[in-house]
Amino acid sequence: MNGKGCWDDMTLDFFRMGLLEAAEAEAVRSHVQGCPTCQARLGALDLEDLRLEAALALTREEADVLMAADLPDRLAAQVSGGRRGAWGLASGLVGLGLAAAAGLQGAVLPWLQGLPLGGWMSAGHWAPQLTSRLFRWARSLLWSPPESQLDILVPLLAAGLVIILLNLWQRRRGLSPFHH
Amino acid sequence: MTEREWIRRAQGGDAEAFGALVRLHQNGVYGFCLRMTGRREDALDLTSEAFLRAYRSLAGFDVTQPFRPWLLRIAANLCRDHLQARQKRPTPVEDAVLADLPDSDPPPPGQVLAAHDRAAVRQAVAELPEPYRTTVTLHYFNQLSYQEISEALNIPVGTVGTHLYRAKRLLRKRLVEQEVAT
Repeated sequence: MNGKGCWDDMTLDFFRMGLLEAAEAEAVRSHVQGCPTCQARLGALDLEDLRLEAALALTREEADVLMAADLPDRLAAQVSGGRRGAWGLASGLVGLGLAAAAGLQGAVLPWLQGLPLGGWMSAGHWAPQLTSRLFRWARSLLWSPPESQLDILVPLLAAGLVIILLNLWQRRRGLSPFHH
Repeated sequence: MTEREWIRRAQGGDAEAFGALVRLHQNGVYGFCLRMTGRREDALDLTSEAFLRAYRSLAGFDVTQPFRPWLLRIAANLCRDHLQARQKRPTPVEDAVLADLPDSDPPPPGQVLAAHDRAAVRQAVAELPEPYRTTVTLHYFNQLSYQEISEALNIPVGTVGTHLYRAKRLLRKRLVEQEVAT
């Protein structure tokens, strides 16, 4: 506070901002009401705020850049694709698990039990040939990366389902390795 | 449909609702990032990243709380990290910075900013130290209250006031220097 009882700039600014304690704010208010100089200083601070707001506002050119980027649709598509990707990955893993379980059921378990392989595992049967073709196709994928998640998901699911269905079908016919 | 309903739907994975939230807040987030970085390409990238991070964290957002300060907090953190990565972060603001200010005869409030055009003011804001720039932008561009800035930046309300006061003093000083230089 100076000799005329005027408050310093920081106190006036805090008064405007409502950051002073009630008693101090009241003291500033009662002084300002009777002090044309402080009223003018407060007015200048208000004006300065308005000019800052105007200076920082987006220009039309800046806003046009944002509009051209089409963020709402682009980001919505991205999160939507992300969810599909997550589902695809989950489905792919399930398919892989099914394929592994089917392989375990059809070949590994009998082998561990010392049982001879038979039924659809026999050489010359169409099922091993189909499986071999699927594996060759999968191997070719490694050399030419897939273009979409479907390229991975569909074959994995198909392989898992084919092996499981084969096992179930051959089991009913008594040809599954489990029936040795 | 209200913002809260869009948020609830987006929390359930509704991409269209998320797109509506982006549409609602993109100007604020982009403008904030632009004023913080000064580069349009960076601002667009940071805006996209802020929205994607918000989407990933949306499940934990309390819909009874205001969304805009929460979103701008994400943007502010991203901008700070970005500026650090660019190694253009100004030195931390200490009182020593302000010691250079002519305390005996400071530029009068209002008159200095009034005399300069928008580009000069924007340039001066862009040269503010990062914490001051963030506070000034959140208040004068995004129109956040002191309380909202306090919550967004996790600093006391009094510190927000101090940042704004000091930022404006620096702005006046720099604008006077620019005027003298030209």
